[in-house]
Amino acid sequence: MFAWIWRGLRTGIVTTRYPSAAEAMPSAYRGRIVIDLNRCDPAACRACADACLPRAIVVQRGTVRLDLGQCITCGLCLDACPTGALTMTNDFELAVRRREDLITQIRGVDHDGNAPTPTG
Amino acid sequence: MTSSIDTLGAGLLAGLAGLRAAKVDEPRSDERYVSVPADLLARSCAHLAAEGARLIAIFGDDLGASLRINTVLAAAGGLLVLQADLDPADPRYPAITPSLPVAHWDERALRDLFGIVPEGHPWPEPLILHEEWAGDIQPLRASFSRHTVPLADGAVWRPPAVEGEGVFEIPYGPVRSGVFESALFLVRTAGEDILAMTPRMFYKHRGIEKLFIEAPLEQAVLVAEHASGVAAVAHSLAFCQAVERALGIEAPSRAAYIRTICAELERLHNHIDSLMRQCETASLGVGQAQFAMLKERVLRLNAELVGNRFLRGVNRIGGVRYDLDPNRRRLLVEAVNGIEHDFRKVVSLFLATASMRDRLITTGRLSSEIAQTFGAVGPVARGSGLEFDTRLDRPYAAYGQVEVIRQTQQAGDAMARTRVRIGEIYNSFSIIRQAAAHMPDGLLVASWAEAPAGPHALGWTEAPQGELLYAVRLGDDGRLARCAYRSPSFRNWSFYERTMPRNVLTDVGFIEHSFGLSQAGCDG
Repeated sequence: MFAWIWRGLRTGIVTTRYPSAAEAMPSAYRGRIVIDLNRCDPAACRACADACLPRAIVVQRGTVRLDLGQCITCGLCLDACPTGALTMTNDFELAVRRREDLITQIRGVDHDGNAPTPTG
Repeated sequence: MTSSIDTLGAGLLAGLAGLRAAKVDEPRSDERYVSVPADLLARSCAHLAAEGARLIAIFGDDLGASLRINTVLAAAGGLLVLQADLDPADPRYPAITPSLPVAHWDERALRDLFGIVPEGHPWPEPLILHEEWAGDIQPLRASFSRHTVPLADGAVWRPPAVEGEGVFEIPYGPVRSGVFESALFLVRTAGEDILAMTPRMFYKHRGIEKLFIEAPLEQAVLVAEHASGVAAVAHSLAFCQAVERALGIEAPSRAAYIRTICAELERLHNHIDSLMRQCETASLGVGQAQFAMLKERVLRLNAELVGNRFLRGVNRIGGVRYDLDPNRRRLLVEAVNGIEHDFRKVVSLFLATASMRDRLITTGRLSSEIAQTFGAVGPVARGSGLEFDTRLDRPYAAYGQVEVIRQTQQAGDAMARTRVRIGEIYNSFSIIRQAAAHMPDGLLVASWAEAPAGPHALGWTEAPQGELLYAVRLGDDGRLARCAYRSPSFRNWSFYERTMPRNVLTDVGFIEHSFGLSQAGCDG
């Protein structure tokens, strides 16, 4: 039993200050998916939605809708996107207070040629 | 396993009247399919088992015109599949279980999921479908849609009775402490000694085998990866290998090495987790924390190497998605050396601790006869003196190029299973170093043209929990028409209760962690 106590004391403190101090995941970590509004044209393309097994990405009527509550961060949508509009960050803190805050909706270029706008 | 599939196939054909004209299909040198009449299936299996083959899985397949039973047996040199076709209007056949008890859960699953009746089964109660499941509806028939779940009201489960003076029941689960998954273990005792245990599983049955056929091939890898979170590599690798064999492609050598490294990292975090839980159950707080730290170091290494703590996303059909360049390999070897250095110290304390030895030695004893009879696999089998290790018996990925050391113990108790895992942890450190040092250059993924029409194939891995088998059949459109898997957790939980009698209540936790199984992996 003393050997265990000694082992524990020698190890010291390994817990970190998180969440009061930030804790970064490795740069390669597959976390939050971000859509670049300027590169995405959901009126003409639905490649990401077709590659999405859990249907976290849905493209309908010129709108792309990303639901992080459904996303399994597999990254297949990144491979599918022809314009590189999707990126994956190493952000793992995806929790929100309201369910709808997990959803990003982007409307495509409208008839007046204005840039896409995020909604919701 | 003394007979090869060549002699077994020939022996089967010669040995049983009525089989001389059987259709034999050999798509690959280590995979042979033999059609048998359904009424000869049980006799053929018993005959092959007597010749030294080992029954490892039975699964159904709805072909429309017929319901097919695939019975997979392992022999030296490969796998032999006996196929029997039944009339979907009246699917019944003489059960295999009376002659080979290893089949008992598989045959009950056939009845629940396909409505195939194994006549003469000694324990014919429902297994997977609980009483809430309404009526005579078989969820793996092609006509069934996953989106309709017919539920019955007011049904109550009655466990088999154990009677006697002062006998009472302790229901342990299905909601349990920590992050243990849903399972009910109904313990019957008259005080401290366990008289009997009735496990109740499949609370978590998700219809995974149906999910597979709804997904395009590339996305189906994700389904395999999520069948059991702690064995993401073993499942996705077995699935990918089955599909690759069906497509007639082979992963490039570099990919095979990366797959091997990831499979061993997965073994490390699972086996260390088992040790951590033994300490937790013995209230050995420092030991628990020490093993938890080591496990966390493996998980962080995983995230650093391939971007996911549980190594998801590594496997893809034809190879792997992420490379391990020289910098990553250096990081890998340094981290593994550090983890091994500290593991050595912690595990020597663990093995020298009187309370751990007291709780593990003679606890949950599994004789090699029971293990053999009920088809034990993985560390559970090897702890009872059985020598099955798929990495050596049917080498896949780069296991033919590294030194895998078979770990066996004879005692069959919780300590024996723990010692098997400790031996395998050291071997995993060594395999990772060997694979990192000798990784060849080359492509990460093999390409393939259009899928050939209607091929079927098997794929396998040695998951941390034991032998895992996948069977796939591709349809004419190149999509999955059927995907079945038999997990080591299903196999080993089918006889788990037999280790319980003559143990005391406080042994239950130690026995469970010495089995080290996954509920999701079992439930499907």
